[in-house]
Amino acid sequence: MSAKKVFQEAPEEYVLPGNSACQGCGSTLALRWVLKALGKKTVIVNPASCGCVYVGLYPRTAISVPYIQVAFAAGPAAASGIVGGLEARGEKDVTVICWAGDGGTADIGVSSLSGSAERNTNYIYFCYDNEAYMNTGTQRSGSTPAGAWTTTTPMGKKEGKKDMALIMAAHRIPYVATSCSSYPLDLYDKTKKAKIIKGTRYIHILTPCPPGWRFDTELTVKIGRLAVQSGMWLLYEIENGVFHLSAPSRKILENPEKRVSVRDYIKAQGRFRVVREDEIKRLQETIDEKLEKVAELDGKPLFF
Amino acid sequence: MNGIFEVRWHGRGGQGIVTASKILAIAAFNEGFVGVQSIPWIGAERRGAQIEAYNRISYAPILLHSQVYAPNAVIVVDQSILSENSSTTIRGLKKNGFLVLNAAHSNVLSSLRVPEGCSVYVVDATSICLELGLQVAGLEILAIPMLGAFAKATDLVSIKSLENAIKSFFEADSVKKNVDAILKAYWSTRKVHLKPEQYLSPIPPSKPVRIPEIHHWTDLPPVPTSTPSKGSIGKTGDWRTHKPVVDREKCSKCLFCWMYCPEAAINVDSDGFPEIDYDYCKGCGVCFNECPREAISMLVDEK
Ligand SMILES: Cc1ncc(C[n+]2csc(CCOP(=O)(O)OP(=O)(O)O)c2C)c(N)n1
Ligand code: SF4
Ligand code: SF4
Ligand code: SF4
Ligand SMILES: [Mg+2]
Repeated sequence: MSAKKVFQEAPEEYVLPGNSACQGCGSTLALRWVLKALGKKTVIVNPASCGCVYVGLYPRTAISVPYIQVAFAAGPAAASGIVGGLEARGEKDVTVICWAGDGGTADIGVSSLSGSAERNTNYIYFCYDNEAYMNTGTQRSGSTPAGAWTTTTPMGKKEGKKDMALIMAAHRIPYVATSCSSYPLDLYDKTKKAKIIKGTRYIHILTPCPPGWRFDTELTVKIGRLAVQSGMWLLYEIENGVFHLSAPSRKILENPEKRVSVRDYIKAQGRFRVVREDEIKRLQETIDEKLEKVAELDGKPLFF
Repeated sequence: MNGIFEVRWHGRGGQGIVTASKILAIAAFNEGFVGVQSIPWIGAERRGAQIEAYNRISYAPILLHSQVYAPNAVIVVDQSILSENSSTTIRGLKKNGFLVLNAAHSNVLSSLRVPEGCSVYVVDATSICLELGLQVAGLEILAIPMLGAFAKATDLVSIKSLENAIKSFFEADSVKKNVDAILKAYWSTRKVHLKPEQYLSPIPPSKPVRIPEIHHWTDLPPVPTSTPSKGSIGKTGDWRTHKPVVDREKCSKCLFCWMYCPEAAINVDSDGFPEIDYDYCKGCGVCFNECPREAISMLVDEK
């Protein structure tokens, strides 16, 4: 689908301009496309995060669908309650989603998220991943990648990034996907697909963040694209346990000349300035190995 | 001074109030106060947004660690904050307290209402910063001269202690500029005389609130809900330094710019051309960077 076509299909905006997100925020761009795909019969549950700030302050909001803010760890629990309430009232055409940051997902909310997936609660969980606690000024989360500077990892994070999408897939939920705010149409299609599936669906979206990742606001889309083109971030779906690479990631596997080096991705961001050349080289080798394995998995069941 | 002296700073992100409040705490410690605190307001600090910071100063160690609710002094670093809402800005100010302002306009001063016995001091911190080139990333660090004004108004810390604090805080090459700003402010701060009717009479104790009896959920008061609106925090077009301009000759109407705008600030007109909503476009430059035809240029925004 092209931008033009999707404009005809989904012209309505549900994230209104004049909100308090930073200039060039990848997270608002992602939410804009998620809501275009879901339409107005959607209820958003948003645990503490940048999301709670960019929607604005009472008595005005930038979000034009029902939206509720809840405590940091409580996103999936509150969503489960709303799903139960709607079921009790017989309202069948409303989509309940949780819109949570990576800290809210990989760290503090992981237990209630896992619980909801175990119960196969009928909702879509979106993790928008800006790879740190951005709302409170960039502290590391379980989803911060190795090497990244944050205020709590001044010399770069030592540990690697927690793989939330695979952790969720291991719950054997019907649909897991990854996306990135730099690929709005990929996100739009996946969200539309998730909308008609029943049960717990999980979509993990990489959303570059100019102040936290230290790059110029105009590069938000470009940086996300570099993440995908370098293989640092993979776009895929796991539908009923079967793994499918999405087009942008398949492209770099099938046409190695379309691949960008990990170095290009790292060097474009101030947060990686403490990473040494030998570390970049090692990271490149890890990514090369990962891509080889992924190529073999494409189209196959992921679990026994 | 008896007990704890509490200070509340008001400014906007980027004007240095968090740094200035740390400097004030160090200076007060140098001055011999054993209990000092500097507290940033943990909010969603974003450039341009209103923020607060607090200080506590005492001869004895301080066990209280909350935000400051009843300040002895309020320092307002950004002029526009006071004109926007003066009663919120000076909320809780104690009687006989101090209000230290950056170059307030005369109409703001004449409409000011302060508690009994308060004194109001004014300094032109903006001009001092401009004159000395005390700027970071294009913003005046207004909070630094305000330290001089605070010293003059309250007599709580000396210039010498402030100078030593500055030295422990900044690189050697920027110490002089900061100290000069404090000195200039100290000597140019003046006291404003208010008319008798500008002093508030003591507030009578409030009546106890009657809590309604609730037997059923329908007895609950309605839940406050927010209304969806464009400009939920105002005209964010003001944030812009550069303005995207579409050249229709080059534009192929592909709508990539519309698709990638994080702000949803691009509309599509009846001919299929992108139309930028300058009321809200924050000037991030994403559309400029993503246009495959190079049909968008970023021009300096002369608002
Ligand atoms: C229990 C609890 N601890 C801490 C906070 C403060 N807090 C609010 S948002 C936030 C960061 C959220 O990070 P993330 O989930 O990654 O979302 P982001 O801000 O990056 O969008 C923190 C620490 C809180 N609200 N509740
Ligand atoms: S800090 Fe990052 S995620 Fe948060 S509003 Fe700003 S750009 Fe968006
Ligand atoms: S991206 Fe460029 S060519 Fe495409 S519609 Fe926008 S201005 Fe026109
Ligand atoms: S500069 Fe940014 S906010 Fe303004 S129209 Fe372009 S993409 Fe949207
Ligand atoms: Mg985050």
